[in-house]
Amino acid sequence: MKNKGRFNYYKILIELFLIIIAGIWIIPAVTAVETSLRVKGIQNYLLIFTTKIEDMLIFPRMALNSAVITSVSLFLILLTSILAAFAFSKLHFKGKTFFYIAILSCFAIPIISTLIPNSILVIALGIRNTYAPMILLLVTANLPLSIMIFRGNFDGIADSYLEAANIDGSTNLNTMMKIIIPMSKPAIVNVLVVMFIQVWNDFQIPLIFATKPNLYTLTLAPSFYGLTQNRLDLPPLYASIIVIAVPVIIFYIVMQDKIIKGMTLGGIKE
Amino acid sequence: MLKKNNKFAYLYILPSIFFVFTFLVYPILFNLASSFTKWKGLSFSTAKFVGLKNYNVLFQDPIFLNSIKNCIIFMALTIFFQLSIGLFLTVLLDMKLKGYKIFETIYFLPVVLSSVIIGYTFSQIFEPSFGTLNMFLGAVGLDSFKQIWIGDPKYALFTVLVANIYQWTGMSIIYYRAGMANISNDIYEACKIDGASFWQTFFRITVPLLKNIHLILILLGTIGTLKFFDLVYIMTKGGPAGSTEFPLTYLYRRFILESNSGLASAVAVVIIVIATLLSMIEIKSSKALES
Repeated sequence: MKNKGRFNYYKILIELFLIIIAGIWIIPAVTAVETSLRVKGIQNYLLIFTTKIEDMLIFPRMALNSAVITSVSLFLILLTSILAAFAFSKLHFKGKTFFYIAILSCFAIPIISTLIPNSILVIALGIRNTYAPMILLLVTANLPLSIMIFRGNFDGIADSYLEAANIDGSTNLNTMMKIIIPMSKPAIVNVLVVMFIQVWNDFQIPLIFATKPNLYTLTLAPSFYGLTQNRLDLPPLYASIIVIAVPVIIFYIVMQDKIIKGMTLGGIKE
Repeated sequence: MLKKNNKFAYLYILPSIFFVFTFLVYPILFNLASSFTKWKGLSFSTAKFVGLKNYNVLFQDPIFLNSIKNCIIFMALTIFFQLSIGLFLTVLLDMKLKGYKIFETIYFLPVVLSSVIIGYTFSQIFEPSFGTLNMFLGAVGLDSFKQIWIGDPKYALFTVLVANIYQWTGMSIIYYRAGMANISNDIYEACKIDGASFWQTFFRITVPLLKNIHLILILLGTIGTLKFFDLVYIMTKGGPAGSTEFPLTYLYRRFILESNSGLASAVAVVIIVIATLLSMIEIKSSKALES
């Protein structure tokens, strides 16, 4: 009986500790909200939505850019990485290990170190002031991780499915589409959700390749609002931060399980 | 039977190879070549072959050397804190006390937020006049502890470190949670029966059994620090006085602000070499772990 008392005291202490840590974790959010309401209060938020450049409402434009770039990039990432992961996992061909390691090693390479050559390439291809550079680079940057996760997932699907289908006369492509992919639906959703966050939140690539304001994505919004207004004008900057954070937070709360599964899928074999 | 050398397989990997070779491999080779030239901006007419001169300048530049030093210090500190705080919190959450799911949701949230959000928010927390930290210190009577934080070379790196730990500790938590799920409860039962204390169990059982996870997180952390750019750029841009200079901010500055393409290429080559070595180690380690 004495033990129980001590144990409960112990539990309460831990609970309290966790609450304090959670409180600390929320402080940044409180800071941002408080700063965003300074001087003009809610007006700061209205400013975000009504600022124009050359007769164009900039915030909706940035939202549109993020949406378009993200969806096209995600589509390409999924298509490309599922095909590649299937080949690495289920097919046999010369140079398989070489190509796999080559692609995976690229995960460690920072996109900024490719700044100069890619800028030249973009100009040479004449795609400078378009969505294209950002999409192409976002896809490239996220392919290694995506391929690695999908391959791990496909590896877990027994080869016997493939063999049985082959015996029945199915081509590999057919097997991939009609059997492997449907079996991997949960994993695909998890990866999709993780990739969405990676692409949507990307800052480096738009920073370098969004050459005009009409190409800016939402991640460039705070810098934009911090600069166009007087440099010391913090409230609009933080209002824009709250505005871009809220959708992501909502997405997170709804998709939390999938995000977490997607992020650990790549690292751990159960 | 599955073919031994399936020619069609190359079609499957073709799109990936296209992306990677066009936007990553070609740039690496290009950087290598241009690092041996003296070159301004992007017009080729100004390029001139100068051999290893750029590398000489680079390795004698105190700011670049400082950026490497910052990178290493930062790497060690951020990994240490992320892992230890993360593991400690995971173990506490594992007790499944009231509201443990909500706590995990809160702790993991910063991971899904853009570095832009975290960077600006922490800039404000460490802001000297009305920032959260200094206001708090003032409120509890610790005025003498107030500093300029971000503007002070002594403390700037610390501010960026705190922001980074805040952003990524949640990642450690979910990895450790997954790892702990694989540890059988019987072991903990046995510990309780033997009368082991919390800390004994923690250090003698939990920590060693999670070796795999430690390794994964360390490798993710090292690669992450090499790629580190967003938070620094937003919070300090590498200043003040180079105290938060990182290899990538150095590269960015040399190219964007000084148009010194030859030197920037040399920096890129150095970073890529280190990054490739690191990732080869990762792939080898994860293969070793599997067996």
